[in-house]
Amino acid sequence: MSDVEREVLLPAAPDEVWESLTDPERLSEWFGAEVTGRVEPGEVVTFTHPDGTQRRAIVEIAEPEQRLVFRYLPFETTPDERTRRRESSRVAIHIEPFDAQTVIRITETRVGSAGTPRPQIGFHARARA
Amino acid sequence: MNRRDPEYVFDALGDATRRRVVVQLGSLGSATPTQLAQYLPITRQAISKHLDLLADAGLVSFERHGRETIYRLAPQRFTDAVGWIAQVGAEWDSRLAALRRQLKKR
Repeated sequence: MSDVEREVLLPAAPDEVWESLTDPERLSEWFGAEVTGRVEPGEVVTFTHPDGTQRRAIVEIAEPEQRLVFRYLPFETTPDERTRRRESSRVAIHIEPFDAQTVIRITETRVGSAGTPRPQIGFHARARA
Repeated sequence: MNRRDPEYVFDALGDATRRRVVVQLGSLGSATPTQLAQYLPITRQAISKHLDLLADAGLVSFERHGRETIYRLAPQRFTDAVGWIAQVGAEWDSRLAALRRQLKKR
């Protein structure tokens, strides 16, 4: 299928990894874009790329130290404030402890215009809280 | 599933026989089902069905010449699907390397 999948072992405990995934300042350091917004279910996060292009994503699931899922909205804003269509995709990040370290598995899947599953905004996060 | 979706491309290529049809068509440049049948261990009818599905996914184009239909690969479609995977994959590789550096510093 048209997925990109990566699985890596990271040299930190899951709580540290979760911070890097959800704290906008830390996220901005490694994501390749400046990240603003709150990484919480139902919130919209903005990624500003070095060339000034902005993409937005809605956070669908955020289960601390376990799972983060967000979906890019199907457009981007150029530096001159124009909005153009851009294919949507969904990013799912699974986190698992491994000794004192963490394994994360990232899957990015293109989201087609048809047959797209309905997002489960915040349900799991709230059910656990 | 929408046939413009890249997903459709991967589904169409998910069958081993269909991939052989694609490879053979690629090496011939253009061919009719009858010509392809000379190189593949399946019937002309079966090849026609595979080609119909590949045409549906936009992976091959065809032209009718009288009673013959001549098929060709449509390379743009392959590039679109494979290009996305290559680009997004490379983005994640560099992000994950940066994330690892960040965590090591702490």
